Amino acid sequence: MIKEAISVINQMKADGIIGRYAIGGAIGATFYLEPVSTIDLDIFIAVEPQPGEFIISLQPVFDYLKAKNAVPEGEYILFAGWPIQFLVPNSPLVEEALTEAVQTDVDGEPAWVFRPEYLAAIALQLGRAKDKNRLLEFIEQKALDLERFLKIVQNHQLTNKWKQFEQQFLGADNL
Amino acid sequence: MMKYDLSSILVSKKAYRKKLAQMPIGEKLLLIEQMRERNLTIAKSRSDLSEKLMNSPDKATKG
Repeated sequence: MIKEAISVINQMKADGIIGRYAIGGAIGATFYLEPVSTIDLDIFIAVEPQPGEFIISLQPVFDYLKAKNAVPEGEYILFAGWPIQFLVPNSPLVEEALTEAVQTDVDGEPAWVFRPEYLAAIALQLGRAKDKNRLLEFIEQKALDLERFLKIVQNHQLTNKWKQFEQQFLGADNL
Repeated sequence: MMKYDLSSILVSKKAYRKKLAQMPIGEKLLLIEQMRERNLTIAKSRSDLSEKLMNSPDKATKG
C-alpha cells in the first residue's frame, strides 16, 4: 500500500536519514487530478553528502529500508508492494519545488507533496508526451494557480516552452 | 437509428474526470493500487502468452 510506503518515508525523515521529501510524478499529480495508472512512486529527497564525501549517495536510504524488509531492484527499492524511486533534485526548478512542497495527509498519515504549479512546471520542462498530457490535465481541471505557475515558468526560463505548448494545445478560452 | 453525439460524450467524460479528481486522496490512491494490480496481471499474461508462443514447436511456421 502507498500509505505504508509514505509512513516509512516519514519515519526515515524523523530518524534523520533524509531531510525534506516530496512526492512527485504521477502519484504526486493524483493529489490534485484524477488518478492515473503508474508503476512507481517518485520521492524527491534532500540528502547531504556523508561527512568527508563530496558525492551524494543514496546508500543510507537503501540500507535503512533494507532493514525494514525492502528489496532493492535496479534503480528502485520495493516496499509494501511498490517500487519506490528516490530522486535527488537535478535542477533549480526541482530544488525549489522541494523547498515549496506542501504538507497534506493521506488518511491520517502526513505526506509532503509538490505544489500543483511545480508539478505542472516540471511536466513542461520534461516535455514528454505523458508530461504534456499531465500539464493539459492541470489546466483543464483548473487545478493551478495560474499566476503562480506563470511566475515559475518565467523564473526558470520556460517561457518559450510554455508559448509552444499554448500554441500547440490551448485555445484562448482554456485560460 | 442511434444518435452519436460526440460533444455530449466529451462533456460527460470531462465531468466524470472532474468528479474523480475531487475524490478524497485515500480513495484515489486505492484506485491507483487497483489499476496497478490489473496492469501487472495483464502484463504477466502477455508475457506468459509470448513465452508460450516462443516455445511452441510450430513457431517457425508462424508469420
